[in-house]
Amino acid sequence: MAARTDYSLDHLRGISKRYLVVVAALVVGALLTLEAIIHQVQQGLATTDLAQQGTQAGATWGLYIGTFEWFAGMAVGTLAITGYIRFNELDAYEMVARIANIWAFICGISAAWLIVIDLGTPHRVLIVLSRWHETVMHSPLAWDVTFVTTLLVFTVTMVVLSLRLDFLQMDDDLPVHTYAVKRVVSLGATDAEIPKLESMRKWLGLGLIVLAFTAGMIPGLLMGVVGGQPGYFGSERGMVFLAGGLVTGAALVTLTAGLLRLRYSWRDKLSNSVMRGLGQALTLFGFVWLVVLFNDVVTVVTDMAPFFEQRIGDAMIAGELAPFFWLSVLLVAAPTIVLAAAKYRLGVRLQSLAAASVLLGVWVKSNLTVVEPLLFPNLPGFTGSYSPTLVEWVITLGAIVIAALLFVLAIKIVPLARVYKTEVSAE
Amino acid sequence: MSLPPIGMVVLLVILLMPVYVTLAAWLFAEPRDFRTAGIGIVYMAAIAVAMIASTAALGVGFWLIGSLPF
Repeated sequence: MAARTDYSLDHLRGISKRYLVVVAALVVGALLTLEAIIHQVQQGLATTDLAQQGTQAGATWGLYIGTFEWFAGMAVGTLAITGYIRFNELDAYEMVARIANIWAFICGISAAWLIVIDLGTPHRVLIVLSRWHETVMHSPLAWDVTFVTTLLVFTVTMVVLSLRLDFLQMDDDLPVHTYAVKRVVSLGATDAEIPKLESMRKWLGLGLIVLAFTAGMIPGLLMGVVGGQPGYFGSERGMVFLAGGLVTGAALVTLTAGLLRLRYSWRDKLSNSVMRGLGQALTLFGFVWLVVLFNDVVTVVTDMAPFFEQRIGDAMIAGELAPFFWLSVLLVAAPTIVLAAAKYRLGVRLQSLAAASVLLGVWVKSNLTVVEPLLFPNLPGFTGSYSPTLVEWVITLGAIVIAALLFVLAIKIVPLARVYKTEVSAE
Repeated sequence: MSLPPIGMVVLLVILLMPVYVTLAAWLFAEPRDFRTAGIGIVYMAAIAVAMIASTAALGVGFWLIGSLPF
């Protein structure tokens, strides 16, 4: 392990053998994914196990949409974390804000990507764009497209604005690829604009928070408005989604900060106090997620629930879906309780492990949330089944691999914090 | 009296609220500096155009993959 050290731009320079191995492995995963996508685009959704409900006994949405919900949630969570840090000008957390900001963009892209994949013949995206002005008047799916686009625009704007400010306060000694980024974000930049840029970064932070807590609920509530669909319809869908987003966003940032600290030992920007702060956020949102989940489930497991809802509740709590449901609860509850009991002093390794467990737990639940109701349609005689095909698994896990690849590449290009200009002192 | 389409309300009141908040604060919060605020708005608009254009390009790319002869 590296010796304790302060943050420097060394991570942007040179390429270690370990870094190359990681990138190569991720690129192989991305190429496999591309192969699976070409296969699906040419053969259509027949290569998946997605089918109509009822007589076809299938689920119309599966891993793609479940993982979309997970990515969209993480995008909202990391968006809220970035906004919170920037709006409150928590300088001790500036590296966390940059990490969360990069992830918000990557998760937004990954979410949008999985929607495009789920279209089956993905060039339908052109139809979605050309009909937007009509569909946005009534379709929650069109609102979702609008939300994800807004999220991408806001996250990139925050990256650009915060980098512009950082570069104004940093030495010019940058590697050539980072210097190119500086040129792009610094058009017309002068030292005189620093106070205004600080103000604009703060207020854009508020914009991110507003975006996260208003439009951010749409990927959840778009299911909650489907009156004919037992298990989806209900007024709490948006809040359930938001709770999942906040805990996964906190977990993703905690895991990333943990891995970076283990790799680089930056004790100034990722100090013990910052790591504990992240652990505290993860614990808080872990409990929030569990409380919201309880409220979400309790109505469908009582004897008074409508028949179609009750079938879903029974399958989830004690039936065929129970192993997945209880696994997801365990994967979130156990680390949350351990973190709370240890008062967020588990150490970087264990805390990172806890974050990974939470990410996995909510991923399982996101997929269940999408699939459960589709297996029990409004037809008493029918129950469906869904077993994702190899193509679905490769494309879904591939989306996660591609997201990781994008982040690993991003931290070779973008500084994660400021390194202040060398002071000219009176020595 | 008929209500406006729900989507119009969602779009104008909820989806665009962060845009209103950000733009109003950039223009009118202290310190006032319309040059820097203007540059920020131009960047944001350029990023929005780039996002929508790249989504359209992705659609065209998939259309080409779908019509490959093999």
